Amino acid sequence: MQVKDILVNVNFTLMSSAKYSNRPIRGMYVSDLLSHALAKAKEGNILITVQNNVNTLAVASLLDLGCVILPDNLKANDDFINRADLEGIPVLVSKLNAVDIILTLKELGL
Amino acid sequence: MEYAISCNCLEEAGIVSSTIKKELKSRGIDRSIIRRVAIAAYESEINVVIHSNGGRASLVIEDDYLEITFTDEGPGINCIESALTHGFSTASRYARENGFGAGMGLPNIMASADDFNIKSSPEGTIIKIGFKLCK
Repeated sequence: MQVKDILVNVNFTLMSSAKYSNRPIRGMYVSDLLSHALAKAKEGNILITVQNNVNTLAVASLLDLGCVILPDNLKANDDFINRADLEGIPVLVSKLNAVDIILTLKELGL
Repeated sequence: MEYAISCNCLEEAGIVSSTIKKELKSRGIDRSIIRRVAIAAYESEINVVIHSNGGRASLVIEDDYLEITFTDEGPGINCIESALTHGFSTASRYARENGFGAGMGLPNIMASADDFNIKSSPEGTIIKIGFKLCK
């Protein structure tokens, strides 16, 4: 599965460059504590987090995560998007909360 | 190779770890080893950023062994034993609001590195982490 396969669902909006939307994704991880995500998230995982600061993208890049999803319509500011494009990590925003994002992704076959 | 690390500048954190990761990738090191190095290096980098007055990281690769030394300019760790305990933290609100400072840094580093050594005084803290680069 690739990032573009979950963009078919209206609940997810790609905020970063479409250039990386073919990035492979495998499984997901939810944490707002970046040290915890760093220790536990696996390569290819979607990281669902409210941490909309650039450190999230440093973690995503170091672990080769699939993409980052910000729940509850959280804002992704310019610094966040620029860093995402620099690291090649797609950033999605959803109006859903973290639990509903997980349920929706499961329905999509993740 | 030596890299400077600024204090209280979380936006820049990750540059050293990312550089090390790229270096190991270019040498064809096993991905699971790179992952452990990345985790330990990033947590160490974050520690210098959020707990110290600034510092530096130096990197030596020799005979399939990587040693990274993080040296900061104080103020040091009061009780190393407590600092090594999962959940113990003296981090600022700034660090916590940015997803760090939950007392997981040093335990994560110890769990990821093959070798770990820490020394601290009010003049500064030195953390050495070592990795065998062959499986």
